[in-house]
Amino acid sequence: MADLITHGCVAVLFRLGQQSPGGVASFVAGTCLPDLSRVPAMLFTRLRYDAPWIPEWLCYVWGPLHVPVGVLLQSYGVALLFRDEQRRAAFLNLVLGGFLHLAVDVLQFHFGQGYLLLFPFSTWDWELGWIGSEATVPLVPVLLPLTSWLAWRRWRSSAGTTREA
Amino acid sequence: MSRGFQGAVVLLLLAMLGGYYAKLAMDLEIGWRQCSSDPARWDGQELVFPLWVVTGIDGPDRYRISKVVKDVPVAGPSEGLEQGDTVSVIGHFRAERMVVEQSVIEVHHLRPYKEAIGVAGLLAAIFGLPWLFRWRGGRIEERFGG
Repeated sequence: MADLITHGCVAVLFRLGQQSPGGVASFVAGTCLPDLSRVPAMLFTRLRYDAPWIPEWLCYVWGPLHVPVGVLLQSYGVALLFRDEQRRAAFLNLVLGGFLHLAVDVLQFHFGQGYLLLFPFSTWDWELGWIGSEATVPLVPVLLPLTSWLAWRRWRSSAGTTREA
Repeated sequence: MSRGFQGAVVLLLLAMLGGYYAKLAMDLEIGWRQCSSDPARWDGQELVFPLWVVTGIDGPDRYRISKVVKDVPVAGPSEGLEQGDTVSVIGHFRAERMVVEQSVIEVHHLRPYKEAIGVAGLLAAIFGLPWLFRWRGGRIEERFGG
């Protein structure tokens, strides 16, 4: 997976075309969800080095949160927490953000072990392998301020209007 | 259908998927565990270890790597490697020596930076949430409109 900041920036850049920032926050949240939900997997994997009594399945059960079917389900679950009038839009933004996350991730190369995009219907795995798994790291110092500046420039007036309203 | 019921169904489906995923990962993956449990059958099997952590250096030609499975022995030059480094290794299982004979290794020098950026992103997400969303009437509301 690419780093969370790159995912967030790509999501913001993806929505720069729209006039107002409406829906961007849930789109960015959607693009972050697949990685946030994998934090427990990383923690348990590291903890198992010193605590082998931690069951192995605890490291794996989070895997579906990073495949398309899991993105759909978790987006639906999170969208249920939104107000009725925003729920449908929130669901769409969360799902599309999640799919953008997966699209960015499949650019990476993991020595032939790709992502299970058709899980649970198939164990076929795939990735484009165009960039290394840390290729986005050197971009972050440029990408983050650039994205922040572009977003501020694009939406500063409408964001202020919406907040005042 | 009530929101609570729908939420429960989503959680149940995710739990079932998680269980199935874990079963697949533990049963079907051709990895170190399968090779070492039946060495004669898997002798020469190519194994791929993407993004594993070096957890021991046992000499100039041998080191150990871990992920979910701990301390897989690898026969290969350990010069320049340090405990805690993240590496990707491709190798072949050798039944006689019970090791993975390294054919390709990539040391992921930028991994610690990536992890630090990940933590920064996590913190930004946590602290950014109240600015982007608010909790009203028991529901989340996107501040700038959905």
